[in-house]
Amino acid sequence: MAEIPVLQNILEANEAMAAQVRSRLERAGVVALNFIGAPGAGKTSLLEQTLPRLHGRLSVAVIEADCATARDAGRIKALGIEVVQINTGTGCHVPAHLVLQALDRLPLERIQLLIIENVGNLVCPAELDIGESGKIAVISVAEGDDKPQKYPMLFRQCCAVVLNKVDLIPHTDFRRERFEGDLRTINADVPLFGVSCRTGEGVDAWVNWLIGQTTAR
Amino acid sequence: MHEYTIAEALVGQIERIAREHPGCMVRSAVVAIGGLRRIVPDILRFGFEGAAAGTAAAGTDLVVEHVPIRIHCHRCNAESELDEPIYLCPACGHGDVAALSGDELILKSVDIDNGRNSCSAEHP
Ligand SMILES: Nc1nc2c(ncn2[C@@H]2O[C@H](COP(=O)(O)OP(=O)(O)O)[C@@H](O)[C@H]2O)c(=O)[nH]1
Ligand SMILES: [Mg+2]
Ligand SMILES: [Zn+2]
Repeated sequence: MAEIPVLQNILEANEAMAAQVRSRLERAGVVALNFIGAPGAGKTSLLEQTLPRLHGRLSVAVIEADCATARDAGRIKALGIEVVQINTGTGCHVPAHLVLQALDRLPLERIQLLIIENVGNLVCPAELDIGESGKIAVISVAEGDDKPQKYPMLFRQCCAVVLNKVDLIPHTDFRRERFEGDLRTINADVPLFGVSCRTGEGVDAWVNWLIGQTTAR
Repeated sequence: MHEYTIAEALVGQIERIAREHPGCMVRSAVVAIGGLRRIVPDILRFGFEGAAAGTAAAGTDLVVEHVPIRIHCHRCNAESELDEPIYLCPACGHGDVAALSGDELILKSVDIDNGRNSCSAEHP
């Protein structure tokens, strides 16, 4: 019996692909944000609110990852935005190699911001680097106010948290202070945006932050 | 469910090591996993067994080592180990802390053998 030291990241095959994605994006000067949230949290709705507000200010393209359908991609295309659909089949997350392939179908030289809507899931997408500049956690009031402690990997790593569906707060037992308190135990200073994609409340503040992210780099 | 994602990646890595050592069996593998990953070792081992079936990683005994979450506090300089991923300094309560460990996901080593004790451990 012989012991072989390995000392490798278990996800190294994915990391190598993510590094390729990152270097291509950096060369093209594109900031890429990876939207992660449960199914139904409102990731696509947030894009529908956000993209029109970026018009004339930032040029954007979107990668839509979904298990099977192209419905979300259709919703983005309807806004006149360049979108590439990735079907992950039964995969619960987008692996970096699929993002790398998707880059070939995008006009990288013409865009400043790339948004990737990941597969609806709070766990696996947070584990996998896909070469993004930052992860955005999208969570909705309907999911309850105790999520940060349950999904620490995501809330620890993300560069912003969007709390969607704040219009529903009066109809639920969701307590915003409790959510924020829970979030602060994981990530003391991550920006938090309370928004409603139904009423448009809070979306402008989020969009301004987003624009700041692309110009700050 | 992310145990399965990790199990599959691990099988791929072990298969590659097996290919680099023809004629050898991979008997066991030691992985180190940080507390922030919230991995349940039994589910990881179960997922690994499933993913390894029919591959060169089949039959590998998976040893899961836990790496505690450690933080350093910028306010009071205390270094602490956390049982839960609550990134507040246990000494002074502040959130101005740097993570020292806890997000590890590492294949540390594998044990291989060819049943005759003469298996080469040299990388090609
Ligand atoms: N009440 C309310 N419903 C919303 C809001 N944002 C999205 N929804 C609804 O939530 C559902 C899921 O939204 P979708 O954007 O498809 O979620 P995704 O799976 O994360 O992309 C849809 O029925 C939306 O109309 C919101 O701010 N308030
Ligand atoms: Mg969607
Ligand atoms: Zn302290």
